[in-house]
Amino acid sequence: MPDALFLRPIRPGDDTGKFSLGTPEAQPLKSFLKKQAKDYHHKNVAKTFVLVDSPDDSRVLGYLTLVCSEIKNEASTRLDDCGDANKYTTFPAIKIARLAIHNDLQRGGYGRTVMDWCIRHVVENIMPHAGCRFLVADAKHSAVSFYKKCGFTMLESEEKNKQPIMFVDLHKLTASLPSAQK
Amino acid sequence: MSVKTSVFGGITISGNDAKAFDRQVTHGRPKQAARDSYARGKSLVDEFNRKGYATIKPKK
Repeated sequence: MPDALFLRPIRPGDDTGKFSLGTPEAQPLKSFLKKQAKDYHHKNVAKTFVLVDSPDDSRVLGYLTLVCSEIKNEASTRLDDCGDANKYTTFPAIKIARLAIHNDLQRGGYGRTVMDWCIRHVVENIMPHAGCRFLVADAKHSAVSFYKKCGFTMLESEEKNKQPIMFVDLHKLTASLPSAQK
Repeated sequence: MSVKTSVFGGITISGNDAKAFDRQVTHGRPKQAARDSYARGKSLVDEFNRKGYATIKPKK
């Protein structure tokens, strides 16, 4: 395992062809990186950040894709800290649309560090400029424990076989921090 | 009662799942793991904002 990798925005010349995840279940993640990630990034549909061996290296070893999203709660959501917003059923969010680490580097802890960057990036670089109350992820069942370790809450769904929804209430997160950490 | 989601779209929650989400949001508190993750992310985002990339060392 390398001592460190580098996370940067995807570039048109990046080599996505050798990316492997090792399981058929992960084929959509591999396919997205190869076929759509660059185009979506440059056309502002979805922003992808890649892991590489050095900042100028082009071989992609992992990636994270973020999009603007929303959570629509048909029963309405009651924000105890913003009562006037409770007349709406939809709240803005940032979604982790994709997160994948190359097969050879999985279970090495890179994903956890990418999530450290992601949570801070959303709070520090996006929240000050556009409302986004939640950070959400459609997790695979196999990734639920990973997201829980990163501080996400799993929606207590009755549909146990569905893709679990994981979320962080970003406002409550930042409100709970000592002022020195903000 | 259902959750509908698409990769690049929103998430729609209805029925009992919607009530569960409401309960979790209303009464939920931030997890210490999220606060820790946010704190660890500071140096990464500082570097990213300064250099255009962040150095990702594996979390042991």
